[in-house]
This record gives sequence, C-alpha cells and structure tokens, in this order.
Amino acid sequence: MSDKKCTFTLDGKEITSQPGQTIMEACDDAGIHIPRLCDVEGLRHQGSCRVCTVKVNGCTTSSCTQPAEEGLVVESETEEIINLRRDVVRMLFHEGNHLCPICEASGNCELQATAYDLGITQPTKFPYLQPVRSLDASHPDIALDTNRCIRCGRCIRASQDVDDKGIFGYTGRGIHRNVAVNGDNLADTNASLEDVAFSPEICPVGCIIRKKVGFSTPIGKREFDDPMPEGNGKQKNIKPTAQKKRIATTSLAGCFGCHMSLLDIDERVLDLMKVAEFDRSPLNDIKKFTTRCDIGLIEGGCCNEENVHVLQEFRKNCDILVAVGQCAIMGGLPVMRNAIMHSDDPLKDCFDEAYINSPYIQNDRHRIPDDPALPLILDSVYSTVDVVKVDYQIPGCPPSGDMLWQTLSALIAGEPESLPKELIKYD
Amino acid sequence: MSKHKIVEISPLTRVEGHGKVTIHLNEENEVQDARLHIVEFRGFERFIQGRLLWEVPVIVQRLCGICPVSHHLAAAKAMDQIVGAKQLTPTAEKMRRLMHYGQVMQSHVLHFFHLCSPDLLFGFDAPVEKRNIFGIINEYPELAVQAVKMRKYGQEIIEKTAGKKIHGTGAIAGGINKNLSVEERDHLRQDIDEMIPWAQEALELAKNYTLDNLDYIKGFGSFPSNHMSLVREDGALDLYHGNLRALDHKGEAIFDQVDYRSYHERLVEEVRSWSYMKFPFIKDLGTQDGWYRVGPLARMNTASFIDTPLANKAHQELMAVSDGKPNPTTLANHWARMIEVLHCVEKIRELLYDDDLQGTDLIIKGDRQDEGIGVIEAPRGNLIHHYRVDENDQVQFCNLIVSTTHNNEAMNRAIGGVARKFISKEPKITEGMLNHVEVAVRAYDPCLSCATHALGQMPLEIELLDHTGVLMDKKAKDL
Repeated sequence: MSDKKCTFTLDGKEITSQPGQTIMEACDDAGIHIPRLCDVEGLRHQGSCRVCTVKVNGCTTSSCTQPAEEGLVVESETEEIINLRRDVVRMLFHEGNHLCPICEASGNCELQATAYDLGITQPTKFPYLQPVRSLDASHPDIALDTNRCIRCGRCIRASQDVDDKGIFGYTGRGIHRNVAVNGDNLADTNASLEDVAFSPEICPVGCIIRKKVGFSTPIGKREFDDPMPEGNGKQKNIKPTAQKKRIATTSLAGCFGCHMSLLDIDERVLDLMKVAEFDRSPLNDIKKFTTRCDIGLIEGGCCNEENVHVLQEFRKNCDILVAVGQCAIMGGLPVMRNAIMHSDDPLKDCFDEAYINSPYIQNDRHRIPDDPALPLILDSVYSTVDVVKVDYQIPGCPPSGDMLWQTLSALIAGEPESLPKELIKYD
Repeated sequence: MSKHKIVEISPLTRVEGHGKVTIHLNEENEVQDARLHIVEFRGFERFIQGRLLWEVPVIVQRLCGICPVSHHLAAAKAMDQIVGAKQLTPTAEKMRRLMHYGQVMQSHVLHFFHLCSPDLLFGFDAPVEKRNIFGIINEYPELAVQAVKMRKYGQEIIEKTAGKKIHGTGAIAGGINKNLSVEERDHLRQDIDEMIPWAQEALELAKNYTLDNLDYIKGFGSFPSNHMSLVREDGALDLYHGNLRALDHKGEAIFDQVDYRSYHERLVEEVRSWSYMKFPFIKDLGTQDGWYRVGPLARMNTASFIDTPLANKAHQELMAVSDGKPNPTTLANHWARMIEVLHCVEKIRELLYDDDLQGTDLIIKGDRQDEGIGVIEAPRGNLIHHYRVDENDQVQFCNLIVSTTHNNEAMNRAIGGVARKFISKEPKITEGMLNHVEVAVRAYDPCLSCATHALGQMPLEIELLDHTGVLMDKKAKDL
C-alpha cells in the first residue's frame, strides 16, 4: 500500500489517493461510488463479496482491498464489469432465500438497493438453490434469519474487532460456508443490543433483526424508497398500433394481486382498449385460447399439475410471455414450503396440519380429501422460468399499476427495451 | 352402477382466484350433484410456523391480492392480543378502520361492476365476448368510468394508510406504523363528496335489478339458511370489530354477542372426502342443520341497524322485502353489497374529518400472551385468524377460516339448485346455461385465492419436465 499520495485513472478520469488508501476509498473521496456489500466504514476490508470488482491494469480484483498505486489504470463502469457485478449480485439472491415481499429489511436492504442500481429486473439467470436454513429467535432482543444471510462477514468483523466479543464466525467451506454463533444459539452468547455488531448499519440485509419492531417504518419512508422518477406514471400515452394486440392473462399459484394491480391502471384501461383486446383471461369468460396471442401475462408459480399445463399452453399460444410478479418469477411465498419449513416431507406436513392435526376440525376417518377433480399437487413449488421459456419478468409483489401500464405500453409498441427499470421494486 | 357424465366449468371466470365446478349427470341427463372445487394449494397454515409474530400480518396478507387488507388486519388484531394491546390508541384504530373501509369499498365495486355487472346488464345468456368489463365500457361508458374511479378511490385510501395499494404494511402488532398526514387527508377529501352520490347510484342499480326481477331470482339458487357475522354491542353493523351473532332462517338467535375469541367453541370445520375446502358448521346444530352463510347479505340479515344514515335507510328497504326476517335470496347479495359500499363511503367521509387520524400516538403494548385470535368482516364475510406463538415470538400454530370457506356449503347448494333448474334433462347444454351456474357462484363473490391456503390431492401421476425436457418433479398417488 502506498505510503504517499498517488494518482491513478478510473475510467479515464484522474483520481488522487491519500497515503494508505484503497482504490475504493480514494474513489469515495473523489465522490465516485463503487457498489459494495461486504465493505462498510469502520471495519477492516475483507474483499469477499466481489461486488466492488474493478479491472486494474487488465486484471479483475476487489477495489476495497486493492491499494491505490501510482499509474494504475482502473476500469469500473464498463459493460464487462457491470455485468460481472450483476452476476455476483444475482448469485447472492440465488443461494439464499430472499423473499423481499415479506422481509422486514425490504426498502432498507443494501442487497436489494444494489440490485436496483445495477438494473437487475429480477435475478433469474441461475437456479434458486432454496437452502434449508435456520431462524434463531432464542435471544430476547435479536433474531437471526440466516435465510437472508449473504456471508458478507460484517457482523463477524464488528463483533471480533470492535465489540471484542467474537460472537460470530464462519463454519463450512465453499457454498456450505455459513455464519454461525459462538454457542448453540444466540441466547447462549453474550450478545447485546448495545453491540456494534447488532447496530442497524452492520447487517446489509434482513439477517440480523431487532425483535418486536418489525415494519415500523412505513413504505415510502424507508431508506431506499425513492420517489417515482420524473416522467413516469400516469401521463404516458400508449402508442396506437396498426392492428390491436391480443392479450391473454392467467393466474397460476398466485394471489390474484397482480391482476388487481393490472386494474390499477384505472382510467387508462380506456386507452388500452383502443390498442388491445383480451383473449383467455379470468377477467372475461374466454376459458380457452381462441387464437394466437401477442402477449401472455402470467401471475403465480406452479404448485400443481394444472398450473404446469396452463403455463405450457400459454407458452404455446403467446408470442411474448411475461412473468408478472414475484410468484411467477421465483415462486413467491409458496416456495416457503420448499425449504423454509424444515421438514423432511413438507407437503405431507401441510396435509396433516390442515386435515388431521387441527383440533378444530371434524374428520372422523382421518382422511385427506382425494377428489378426482382436484389437480395433483407438486412436491415442490416452481417458478414459471423453471418450466417454460419466459421472455420478460416484471418483479414486485405485485408490480404497481404504473409499472404494468408502462410494460404493456412498451410491449404493444414493440419497444421492450424501454421497459421501465426505474419503477422496479421487489416487494 | 349407472353411468355418470360430468360436465365441467373450468376455469371459473370473473371470480377472484381459481376454481371449477363439476356437474354430475345420470343417464337421463338429470343433475345428481354439483360441486365447487378450489384447485390450488399454497399451504400458508403450515409454512407460517416458525416465522416471527410481527411478520405475520405482512406474510398472511399474501393469501389474497383482492382483499389483502382483511388478512392484514385480522392477523394484526390477533397479534395485538399477543403483545397485550387490549385497546388501541384512537389514531391506530381509526387508521385501521379507514384502511378497511377503503378495502371493502374497492372490493365490492370491483366485484359488482368489473365482474358481475355484465350478467345483470346483458343477461346470463349474453354472448361470451360481451360478458366482461370491456363490454360494459363499450355500452355503458359513463357507468364504467364511474366504477373505475370508485375502485381507484378505495385503492388510494389503502395506499395512504398502508403504503401500497396491494400488500402494504400499515398495521403492526399493537397499532399502526403511520398516521394520515394532512396532505394525504386533503387529497382524499377532494373526491369523497363525489363518491356518495355515485355509491347511491350503484345501490339504486342493484336494488332495482333485485326488485324488478324478484320473482325470478327468488328461485335462483336461494334457500333458507342460518347467517353469521360480527355485530357491535348494540347490534349495529360493524365491519372492523364486534361480537359474533348467528341467526336462523326465521331470525331467531342461535347465539349472540359471543366473544370471537371463543369461535372454536361454536364452530367446527368438517372435512369431506370430495372437497379439500372444509365445511364449517355451528357445533350445537350439527353438520346437517348447522351450516350458515356469511357476507354482505348475511350481515344485512344479522345487523339490527347501520350507524350511517343513508346506508341505514337502504338496509331498512332491503329488510322490508322479507318482512324483517333474514332474506334468503342469493342474488340479493348484490343489493346488500352496494348498501355496504354506501356505508363505507359514509364512514370514510366521517373519518376524513376526524382529527384523531393526525394523532401521533400509534402503538401500545401490554402483558404478553401466547395466543391471539383476530376476526374481521372481510368483504366476502367473516374472517378468522388464530395463532399461537412461543416464548421466542415464533408462530407455533395457525388456523384460518376465510369467508369463502364459511360459504362453502351455501355455494354448493346454490350451484346444485341452479344446475337442477337450468340443466337437468336438457338435451343440449349450452354455454349460457353453464353461465347460470357461475352467476350463482359469483353472487357470493367467492375469493378462491383466500381459500387456497388449504390443500388437496389427486390420485394421479404427473411428471414435470422443464422447457429443455429435463425431469424436474414426479408425483404419484398415495401421498
């Protein structure tokens, strides 16, 4: 590390560093932000998350650990580096259970905000691993939901280096590496709310949470709740087309919220009708495709065989298929039964809970309903992208009416590249 | 054994959620049975276990995107008990009420105009292409725009109180996370006076339809039944809070002013082999006689009066049709629903001029309990949420009885009656005839999304292949 001031270039711009600074620190001082997750002010650098990757003299490295040196040529905002960062962030979503819609850190989450900044419409590039992880609520004031842990190690460094307690540490290697506590559970440790490790700025996601205060910040006042960007929203007009586009919609294993949000385009439905007409949809009585459709909107994931068949039918009959909402994109809340319930046989557990074990039912024969009219339920819940090729994903639980309006406007006009990334929310 | 033919209506359309009806015919084409099936499973009651108590109102509202506020508030009321908040602050309770009235208003308007009105305005046999909201927009544009704006207003109230139009976070254990700012209040005040005459017009439409067609609809899937809802201590309609009242078909009390936290002493859910949606009944009356109806018409039948003047007058008019006795006419649900829209609009107006909504005392806590039961009158009827949590604040038990489940027996009886009347012995079954069955289902405005927290199975085999042909899942009979 250089013990004197030096100058290097970042994307062609000259940056002067102070003695002992890393590239990231020098850029921070110059007002240039390099995204990061494992690095936070006040803790030693770790260089593990790789979100801050830059190219230095042609080699990729983490900018939070790379010393600034005279004459370095650093690339940061290139397409190659941005794509690399996107993949790194996507992988963080895929290896944990990040259910943004029900996470109390949502809106205050650095992982989520980083993904927004990188323009990740939805991390569906890789398969979701859906690991079985624990929720430790044994401590009276603090809970650890390791489903959301991204192993950034900020809590480890804060506890070891600042609090001098060593409450946290890593166990395992590679993909099995996890953060663990120094005891059977958090209640066995000397963890305290006064510890820096448990201060809100340490955990970048919703893994470390203070008990009893969930969701106390209203939507709109959370750290990353940006106001709607100028120019978006209701004033945009849908462009007329030579021929009306035909749209089909369906809800698989969803809650119908995405269809309700579609209705939240409100009076703009009149404009929509000038350029589009609806084929198969629960909003009308067309139960089967009458013709090939231009656009298919899918809400919900696949929980049963019928969901799968309907989805395949939509793929077959629609030129463009759009997964609308978290359930369609990654399974949504129903995937909680895949992994989070910690059961060897989650589906059987669900049946037993509803029909056999409840103290408030009458079921003298202890049988689970088996009507032939009911579709077979799958062992696991699947997203739409697991089953068919999906052309676009519109995240949100649900996506807003404005988001859906602009999406439809772009697709109808044949301009999908203008899908409104600035309106993207995962929750 | 006689050969049965099964006619299927699948998917049910213009209802919230997914379902289908099977109509079972014998060799003479007589209807032997008609069944409503909810064809989806998600499994909330089980996977909610282990989650932290303050997450629950946010998680369980994802049961439903049509009436998420109802689940959000029922769960929050249960969690209020667990954190020992016996009496919420005025600001918290009124904010929640405002949220709920906005929700009931938008949901009822959605159902009546967007989903159901094509049947009423075009006829049950109208062409398929016409029977939808787009058909209404084409032929009744002013009415359609009015409907769109009314629903929009309800959604805006939810947004201002919960942060989002769908799946917000306003209610938290022991209170609420925000008040209504003066700016938000003034924004909502701008349109409220327009909503009242619009609600009255919608009510007139529903009332006139009912009265003009009374002879016909009296025989359309109607039957005497018990009715149940929450009522206030003085017997008034109360959509947010109250005690349980159940009346028989003559209007005699089966029980009254029962604390809803003892619902399980009064109600039992029966499991039947042919449906995975359970069948609740009043324990003392047994399975044969104990089933009941919930929802707008049931609420009109059980409430002694309504505490807003315009809706109260409308309530009296409706009850006069059945001489003050519970009205058994299934399609009169639409009339009742529009009375509730008017009531909600009156209540919203009242609240928008109540300074308590700008209060800053939002949360209260008390002695911690390990069990909470929250009950609310959701748009489609009584909604019960029951939870137990452990000493670590993690949910150990969850039981949900949603409105559509309460109405399970009634909906099955209604479709059975309509199927026998319009389909039995007909040589050819037309799409229009089948729509009659759907009309009977729609009268209950069933929320099949809500109902899919329960689950079912089918004795079949399926292989799930991904789009590249790789086997992803295989499921066989005999779980």
